[in-house]
Amino acid sequence: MSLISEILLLALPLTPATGAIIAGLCPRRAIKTVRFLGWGFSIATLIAWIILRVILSAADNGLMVSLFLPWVPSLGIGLHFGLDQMGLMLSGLIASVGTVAMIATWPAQPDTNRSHVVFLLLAEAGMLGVVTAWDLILFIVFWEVTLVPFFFLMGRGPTRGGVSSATRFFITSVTSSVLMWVGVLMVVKAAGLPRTFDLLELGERLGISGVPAGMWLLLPAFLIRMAVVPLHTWFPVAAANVPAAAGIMLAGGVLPLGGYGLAQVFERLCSHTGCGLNAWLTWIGVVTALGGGVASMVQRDIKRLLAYVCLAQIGLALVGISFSGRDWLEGGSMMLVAAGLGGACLFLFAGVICEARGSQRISEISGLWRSHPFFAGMAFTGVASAAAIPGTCGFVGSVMVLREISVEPLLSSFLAGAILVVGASVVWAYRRILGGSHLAAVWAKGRWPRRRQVTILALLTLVIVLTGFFPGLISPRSFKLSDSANPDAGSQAPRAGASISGGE
Amino acid sequence: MDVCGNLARAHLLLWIVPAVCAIFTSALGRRLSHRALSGLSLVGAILPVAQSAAAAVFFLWGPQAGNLGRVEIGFMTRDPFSLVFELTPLGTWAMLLCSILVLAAQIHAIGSVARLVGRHRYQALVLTVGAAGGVLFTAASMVTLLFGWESLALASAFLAGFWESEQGGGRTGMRWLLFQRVSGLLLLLGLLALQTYSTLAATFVAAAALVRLGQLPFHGWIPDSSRAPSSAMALLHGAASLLAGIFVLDRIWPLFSQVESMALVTGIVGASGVVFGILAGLQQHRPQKMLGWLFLLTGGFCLMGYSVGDPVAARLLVSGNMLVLGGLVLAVGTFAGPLFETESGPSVAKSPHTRKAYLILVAALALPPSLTFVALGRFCGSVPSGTIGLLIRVLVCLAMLTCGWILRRVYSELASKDPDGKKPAGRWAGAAPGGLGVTAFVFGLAAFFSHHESEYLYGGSVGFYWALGSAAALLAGWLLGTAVAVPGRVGKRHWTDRLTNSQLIMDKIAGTGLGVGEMVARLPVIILRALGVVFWRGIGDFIIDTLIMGTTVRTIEGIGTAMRYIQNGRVQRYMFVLVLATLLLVLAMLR
Repeated sequence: MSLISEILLLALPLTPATGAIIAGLCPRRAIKTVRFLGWGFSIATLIAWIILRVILSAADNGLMVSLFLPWVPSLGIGLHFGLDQMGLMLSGLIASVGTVAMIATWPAQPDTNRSHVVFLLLAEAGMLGVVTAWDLILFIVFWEVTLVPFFFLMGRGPTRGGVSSATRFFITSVTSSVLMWVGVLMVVKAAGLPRTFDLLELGERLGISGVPAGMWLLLPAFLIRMAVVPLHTWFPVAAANVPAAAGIMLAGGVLPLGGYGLAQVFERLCSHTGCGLNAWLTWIGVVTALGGGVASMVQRDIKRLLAYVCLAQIGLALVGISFSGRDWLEGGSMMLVAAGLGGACLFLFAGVICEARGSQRISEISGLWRSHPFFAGMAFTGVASAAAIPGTCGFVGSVMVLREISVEPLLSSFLAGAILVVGASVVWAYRRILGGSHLAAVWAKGRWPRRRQVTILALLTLVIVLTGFFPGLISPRSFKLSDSANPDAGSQAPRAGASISGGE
Repeated sequence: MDVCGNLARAHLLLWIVPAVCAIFTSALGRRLSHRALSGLSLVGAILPVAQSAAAAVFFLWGPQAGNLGRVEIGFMTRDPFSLVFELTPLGTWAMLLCSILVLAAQIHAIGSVARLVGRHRYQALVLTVGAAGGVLFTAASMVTLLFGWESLALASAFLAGFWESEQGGGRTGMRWLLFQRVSGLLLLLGLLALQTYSTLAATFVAAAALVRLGQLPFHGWIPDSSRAPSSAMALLHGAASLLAGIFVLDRIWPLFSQVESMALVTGIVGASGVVFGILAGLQQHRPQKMLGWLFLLTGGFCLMGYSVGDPVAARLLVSGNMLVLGGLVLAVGTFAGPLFETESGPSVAKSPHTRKAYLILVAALALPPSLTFVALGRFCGSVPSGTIGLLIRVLVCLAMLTCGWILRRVYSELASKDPDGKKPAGRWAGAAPGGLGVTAFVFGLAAFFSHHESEYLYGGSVGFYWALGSAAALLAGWLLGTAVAVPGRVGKRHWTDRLTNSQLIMDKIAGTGLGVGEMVARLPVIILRALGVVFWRGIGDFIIDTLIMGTTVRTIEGIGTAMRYIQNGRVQRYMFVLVLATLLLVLAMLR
C-alpha cells in the first residue's frame, strides 16, 4: 500500500508533465490528438488523486505519504516529495481545477491549440509540484515552473490588456521569486550546519534557534501570489483581461497556492507563530476580505467583479491561516479550497457567457435565465459558495474560520460583514445577469454552451455541494475541537446541536 | 395512534417527499400535461400535511411527549457539520402550519399559473419552500438549522421572481434575499457564540429573527413584496418570514428569557411594528400592500407576546394570523392578477367564490371559535395589569378596528363589477383561501377541546372578554369602512383617504416609515459602494499602482535613461562620471 501511495504521489506532478511533453511533440495539426491527450492526462491526474485520497487514512500532523531521493547530498538538497492533510486538499483542488480548465476551455485561435494544452498541463504540473515538494529547492523550482506557462496563457486574452496583464504578472512573480530565493538562502544559512533544505528539518531547527531575517523576504513572495492587500492590484487586472482557462487557473489554483505556501513554508519555519506577524497577517486578511467585498460592489465588468470576490475569499483564508496558530490549519485550508472551487466555477461561467456575448459588461449580458436556465442555474452554486450559503464548501470554510476567531468578537463581526458584502455583491451581479431585459437574438448566436462545458460545470457544482454537506470527502482527518492550539477555544466552541436541539 | 407515531418517527419524509416531487416537477414539467403536473405537485404538498397532522395528533394525545426519531447523517461529515434531524412538538406545530400554507399556495398556483410557460418551475419552487421548511423545523444541529433557514429564504426569493425584471418580483426577491443574508449571518454568529457569550448569542439570534420578521427598521422589503405573485407573497410573509422567525425565537426562548433587557427591547420593537403596521396599512391604495403591512402588525404582536413572557400566545397568534392573512393574500391575488399584480389592472375577473372565501377569512380573523380569537384572548390575558397592560389591550382593539377598515376597503374592490367583462375565476379561486379560513376555525376548536380550561387558554376571563372586544372592534372597523367606502375607489384618491392621513406627514410615515426602511436598505449600500470606489480607485489604482508602482517604474526608467545617455560612447561623459564618483568617494572617506 505504501509503494502504491508513493507511486501515486509521484504521479501527481509527473502525469501532467509527461502529458505536456507528449502533447508538445505531437504535430501542430493533430488537434484532436492533442486535445484528447490533454483531457486524458488531466483526468488521469485527477484519478490518481482520488485513489490517493481513498488510500490515505487520517494521520496526525505529519506527512501521510512521503518519498525521499537524494539529489545533491553535499549541499543538503534532496527530492523530498510528500503530502500532509493540507497538501492533500490543495492537490485535489489543483487536479480538479486543472481538469476543469482543460476540458471546458479551448482557444479561439486554431494555431494555438497545442500550446494551450501544453501550457495548461505544465501549469498544473508546476502547481502540483509545489504542493508535493518538501524540499525548499524543489519547492522553488516548481514555483518557477508555474510562472512560464501562465505568462503565455494569459497573453491570449479577449482584450488588448492581456499581454500587459501577463507582463505585470510575470514581473510581480519574478520579484517575489527573487525575494524567495534570497530568503531561502538566508533561512538555510541561519539554520546552521549540516546544511539542509528539507522543510521539516528546517522547521525543527529554526523552532529552537529563533527567527531568521530571511523570513521577511519569504513573506512578500507568498502574499503577492495570494494577491492580498496591498499587493493585490495585479489580480483584478489580470482576471479581467486573460482568457477563460487562465482565469480559472488563477482563481482556482494560483491564489490558493500562495496561501498554501504561506501556511506550509512560512508558518512551519516560524513554528506556527508567524514570526510574531500573525496578528498583522490576520488584519491584512480582514482588510483584504472587506476591501475585496466593497470593491466588487462597484464593478461593471463581471470578471473584475469575480476577481474581487475571490480576493475577499482569499482574505478570509488568510485570517484562518494566521489566526489559528495550530499545527494543522483546518479553517484556512478549507477556505482556500472553497475559494478555489467557487472561483473556478464562477470564472468558468463568466468565461463561457462572455465569450458567447462578446462582452464582459454586466449590463450587456442580461436575460440569461430565459435563454439558458439550466446552465445559469448551475452557476448559482458558485455564487452560493461565495456568499457562504449553507450546503456549499464556501459555507464550511467560512464557518470554520469564523469559529476559530469567535473568541474575538470584533474580528468576527468584520469577517461576517465581509462575507455579507461579498454575498450581496455576487448575488446582485448574478441576479442582473439572469434577469433584466432578455436579448433573445443576442443569446441565440452560435452553439453555446458546449456539452462538455455544461458537464464540467455540473460536476463542479456537484463537488461544491458535496463538500458543503460532507467536508470529510476532501480531507480524511476527523477534526476534534480539542486539537485547537488554544485549549480554551475548543471548550468554548459550540457543540453541534447541543443547545438548539431541545424542543419541548 | 401507532400509525401516527410511526409517521412521526419517519419525519425525514417531511422534506424528502416535497424535495423529490419538486425535482420531478421541475425536470418533467414540460413533458407532462397540466393535469399530471398538478397531480405531482399536489402529492408533494398533501403528504407533508397528512404526516405532520398525524405527528400533531400523536404529540397531543399519544403516550409519549418527548422528541422523536433523532437521525444523524454522519457519512464523511465533520463534527460541527453533522446533519441532525429530530421531530419536536414545536417543530411539528410549525411544520403543520407551513405544509398547510404550502398546500394552499400550490392549489392557488395550479389555478393561477396554468397559462404560464414556466409553471412547472414555479410549482417546483412552491414545493421547495415546503421542503426547506421541513429541514428547518426538524433541525437539531447548528448546520441543519442554518441550512433550513437559508434555504427557506432562498426558495422564497426565487419564488418571488428573483430572475424576473424590475416590473415583476425581481426587486422583491433581491431585497428579501439581501435582508435574509444579514439575518442568516446574524444567526450564524449567534449560534457560534452560543456557549461562549450567552447574552451576545441571544442578541444575535434575536436580531436575526427581527430581520426575518421584517420588524422596524428592517422592513425595507415589505413594500416591494406586493409585486410578487400572490402565492409567493403568502409563502414569503407567512412561512418564510413570520413562522420561521417565531420558530427560531421559540428555540432560543430559554436563553432569551434570561437576558433582562431583551423583553423590553422586543416589546418596544413589537409595539413599534404594530403602530407602524396600522399607519402604513391605512395609507396604502393597493390591496396587496395593505395586507403586507398587516403581516408586520402580526409580527409585532408576536414579539410583544414574548416580551410579556408568554410564548404560547405568540405561537397562537402566528398560527391564526398566518392562516388567515395567507388566505386573504391568496383571495386578493385572484383578482389582482394571475401571477403578477400589474398596473394595467386585473387579468382574471372577480368571482363569487373568492368573495365567499374572503368573508370566511374576515370572520376567522377575530370571531369565535377561530384560532385567532383564541390567540387574541390568550395574549390579552397574559398582559400584565396596570396602565401599560391597558394600553397594550387598547392597542389590540385599535389594530383590529384598523384591520376591519382595511379589509372592508379591499372588499369594496372585490365586490365591484369587473369593467372588462372577463371570464370569472373558477372554483379554485376560492378553494385555497376558503380552506385556510376553515382551517383557522377547526384549529380554534381543536385548541378549545384540547385545553378547555379558560384559565390556560385565555389567561382567565379577562382575556376572553378582551378577545370579544377586539372582535367587536373588527366589526366596528368593517362597518366604518362600509359607511365611508365607495366601491371601486380603492386605487384612487378619495375623501376617506383624507380621514386617515394628514397627507404630507402620513405619506412620509407610511411609505417606508419616515424613510427608515429605505434608509436601512439603501444607506449601507451607498456607504459600501463609496468605500468600494475608494478601495478600488483610490487605494488600488492611485496609491498602489500609480504612485508606488508607477514611481518605482519611472525611477528605474530614469536610471536606465541616464545610463544609456552616459554609455553613448563619448569620453567626456565617462570622465565626468568618474570625477564625480571619485569626489563622492573622497568625501565619504573624509567623513
